[in-house]
Amino acid sequence: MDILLLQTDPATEPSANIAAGYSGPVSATNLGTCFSDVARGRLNHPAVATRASCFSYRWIARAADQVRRYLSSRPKHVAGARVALQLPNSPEYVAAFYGALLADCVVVPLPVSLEVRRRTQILELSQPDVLISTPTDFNAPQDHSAPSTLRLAERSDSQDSLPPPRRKNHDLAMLLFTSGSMGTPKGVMLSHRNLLANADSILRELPIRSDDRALVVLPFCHAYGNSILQTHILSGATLLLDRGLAFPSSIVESICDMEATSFSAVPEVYGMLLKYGRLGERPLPALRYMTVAGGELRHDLAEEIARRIEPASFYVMYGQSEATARLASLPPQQLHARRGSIGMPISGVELAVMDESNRELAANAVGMLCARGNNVMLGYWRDPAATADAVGTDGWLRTGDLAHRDEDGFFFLHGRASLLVKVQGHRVHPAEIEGLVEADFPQTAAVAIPTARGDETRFVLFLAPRDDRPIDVEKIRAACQKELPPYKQPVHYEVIERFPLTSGYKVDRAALAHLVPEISGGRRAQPDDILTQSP
Amino acid sequence: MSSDRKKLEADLTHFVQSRGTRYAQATLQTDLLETGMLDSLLLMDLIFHIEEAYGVRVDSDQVNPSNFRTIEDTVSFLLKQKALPQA
Repeated sequence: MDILLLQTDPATEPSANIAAGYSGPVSATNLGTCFSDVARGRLNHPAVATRASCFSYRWIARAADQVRRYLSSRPKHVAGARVALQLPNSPEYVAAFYGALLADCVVVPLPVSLEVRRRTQILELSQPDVLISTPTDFNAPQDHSAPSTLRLAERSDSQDSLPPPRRKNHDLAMLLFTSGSMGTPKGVMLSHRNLLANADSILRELPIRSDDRALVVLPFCHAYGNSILQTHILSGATLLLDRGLAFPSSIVESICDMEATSFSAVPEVYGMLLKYGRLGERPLPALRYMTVAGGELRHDLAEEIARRIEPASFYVMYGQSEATARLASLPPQQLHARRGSIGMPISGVELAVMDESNRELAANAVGMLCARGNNVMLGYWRDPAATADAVGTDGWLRTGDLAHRDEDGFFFLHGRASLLVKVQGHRVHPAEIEGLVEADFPQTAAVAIPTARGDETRFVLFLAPRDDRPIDVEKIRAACQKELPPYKQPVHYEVIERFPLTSGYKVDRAALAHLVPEISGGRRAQPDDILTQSP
Repeated sequence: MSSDRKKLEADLTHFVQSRGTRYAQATLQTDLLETGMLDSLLLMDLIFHIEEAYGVRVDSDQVNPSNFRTIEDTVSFLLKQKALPQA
């Protein structure tokens, strides 16, 4: 695997002419080409803006062209080669993403802070030819080659134009690694058509305009963040990036100061915005709408957000990586009447509630929520068995979420059919925590149980001895802290003599869940915990 | 320096450092925002920890960079809060 480090020269002035290379026909079948077409029409418009600088579509297109030329000129270059991106939300990410697609490569985005064990697994599974990072974000994998450096958007003399990319439609464009039903990483295979179809559906649902300025806190390497990137770039709009957005009050300040027209986040962030962000106290005249997805936001909180951001609209949305990003949306004017609903399928998507034999159920019956459309993934990377479990031959994706549909066609969730949980929008399987402990401490059995803490979901780890040796909780805690990212780290460790079992002699997770409130401080969120702090 | 401050410094430094290798280098004066260590999850965990371990209620207007930019800032904030009578 080669390493490429991108360096941005802040002194670079955009040149008058776009770099040569986009001589191909206008095409709606390759996402990279679509980006080039949009960029050509929006050369001087900001594509990415921070408080300090502005990166025009011209800048991004030229940087993408540099990445493309670097990748396609490698002697071993083949179409379909994977290119891993370990980049934070930045103009470099956007350039590397489209540059890789234009070079007929497949993008594998990695979270910048991904734990070493997980990254190794993903790199082994996806076998990228190149890893692109920046000198600041680069965290050397084992046995890597000496990095090359590319200075982005330097003034370049006119170069030969390149032929249009060959990959399109059903060809793989992106591998999005997520947690599978057994806790191991699974690569969701998204084609050019998947990405274009979902972006198109979202653009029909949300009022995204070319003069929009979206404040982005969601990572681009995440399905939801990726959909924000695609929809705004394809609209010729502007992505706003800012630092310090950990603070709810800073988010509100950034929306105000940077004149953001939209904002999207996972439920936990909205919980914080209500509790600590003083949302609604100062007017946000530029703001037109906000969206939430990536987990369930309590209905009363959704209504409170909607009330506080008026006259801007609040969209509750639903989706998953296997469907590129988004599947359903609740029209803002229906928020009050359809309490707790995820809405209706977005344009181009079909949703149905099915029984175990994949027969559609009548209204109000609870079953597996299934989805069909051009946004449904090609399958899981090199895992035909898991693909067959998830996507039927008829093209219906089994989302793993239980749901019902009301008589009017609005859908409502009833939790997961599997043990997967969402923590801050990340899909986590308890086995990811249990497996780590049991591998390092074979004499200990571990069961991770999700628990509500405030408005967040986190894990309590139950430990039981397999033999007479005592359990060293501190050692286990230290191992989890060393090897797991913070959102997967248990917030409490509890040793018990033995696990309760079900009649089928499996660990009774429901019985363990009942023990959680008494041991984790018992500070479960009260329904009005947050609303009592209304301004 | 009061022993109260020392204890708080040790506790909060340990709290931040023990989150993983990325956090192991954090010191009292490390700018948690500039280094990107402080994300919304760490902020929530810090607030939860302060409220649970020290019985200090953190109000919405106190959740800002001046109280959480460095571990030292959080300690100072906590000492100020502890000196006030709690509701």
